[in-house]
Amino acid sequence: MDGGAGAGVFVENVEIPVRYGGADGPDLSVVAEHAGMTTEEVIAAHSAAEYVVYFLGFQPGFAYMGGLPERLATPRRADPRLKVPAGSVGIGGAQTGIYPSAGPGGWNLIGRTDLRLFDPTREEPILLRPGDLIKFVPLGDPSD
Amino acid sequence: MLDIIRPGIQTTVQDLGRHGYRHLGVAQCGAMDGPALWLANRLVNNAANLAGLEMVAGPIEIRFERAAWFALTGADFAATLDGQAVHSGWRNHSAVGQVLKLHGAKAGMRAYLAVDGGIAVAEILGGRATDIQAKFGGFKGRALKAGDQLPLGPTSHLERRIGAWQAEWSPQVRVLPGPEFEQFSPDARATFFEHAWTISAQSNRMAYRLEGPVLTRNVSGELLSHGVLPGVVQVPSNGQPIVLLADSQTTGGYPRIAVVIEADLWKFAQAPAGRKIHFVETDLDGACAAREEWRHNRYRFELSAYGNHG
Repeated sequence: MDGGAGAGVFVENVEIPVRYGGADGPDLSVVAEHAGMTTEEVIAAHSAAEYVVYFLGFQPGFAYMGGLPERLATPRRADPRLKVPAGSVGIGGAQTGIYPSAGPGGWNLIGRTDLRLFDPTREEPILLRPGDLIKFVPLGDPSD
Repeated sequence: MLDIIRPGIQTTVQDLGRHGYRHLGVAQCGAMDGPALWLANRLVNNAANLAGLEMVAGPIEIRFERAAWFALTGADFAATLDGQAVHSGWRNHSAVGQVLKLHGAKAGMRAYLAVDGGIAVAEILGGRATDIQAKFGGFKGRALKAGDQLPLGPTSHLERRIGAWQAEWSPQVRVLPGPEFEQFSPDARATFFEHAWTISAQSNRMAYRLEGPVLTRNVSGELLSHGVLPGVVQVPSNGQPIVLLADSQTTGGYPRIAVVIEADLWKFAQAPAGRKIHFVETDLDGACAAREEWRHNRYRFELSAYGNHG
């Protein structure tokens, strides 16, 4: 889908492959418990929804996304992690997002992608742009 | 080439900042004391935005692997070149193989070194500044280590030694009221300007945390995330102000009680933990006049050093 009719702005559909749970998503069970769902139901709900990138900020290439199913909204951790691995997919309040580079962070981590969201040496340093439509695609068995 | 023998703590390659990429979430970075790096570069007739070194804590030792003109500005680090005193704010010459030692700040906090030709690291996203958080730019995206060898640009043909006046530090920092200023209680608004705020040890290139009386906000509820810039003064729910600086993240969500004017941002660069600062209210005209004054100082320097205004 493109929104080019307006002002030459193109919106892309981007699929993000994600390994949910386990060491890649240590807070998956926290989100599940908060939502009163099983972890499988959280994965199904998170990957079924379509998200829109509202804006970039916090870290280079960090996309704040709207569209998180209301049930999955989970408050930020009271004690932020000092080191969140690059590619971690998190839930912070009513938003979901992906950490482009390793650093501190307070969102609940439910999975991880190998896509590089920011690479300053690429001609287009960012992967996601405001307005892009995002789907998360679960990879493999979440329990491993 | 510059040979880093002893790197000090958090010595980084910095220019005047990476501009035009905040919409991608990319921080500005660059010298915390911009006017000091500007002056160091112009003392050796570099373009003002070439990369130099920002130094926070000594001892630091650097060997010149080519003959070079260099200048130190900002905090006085009691520097010597092969044992001879080197004064801050002057153009100096080093022969091949001479060693520059910087012992540490006598007053202030950050010193800047510019070498003729500049530090010739690759430009990434329109700048040569080190982004320590995102780990790119500068020299390998990190603070310098012993054994690092920094490439230099082409040397210039300079002759005489010249010096320049450097702005004197004072604890008065001028601010404009921020977008949420009116949401703070009348008491908090008065206290913000009347109290001397202590710079906390929890301060770095991203932000300085200040300690003092708790500032209370009359309005409850969280704000939507919004864009922020170096100079924005946030007050999280603990009531203690945070001043965003060169490496500031691009977005935030805390109420903005004030914004430090550009002309006074360098004062934080030269204020170590424990130092006290005062906020002084100004308006847009005051901020513009301060910027004009800084421009005028630069013009005066160009006129006396090079007989034109660069």
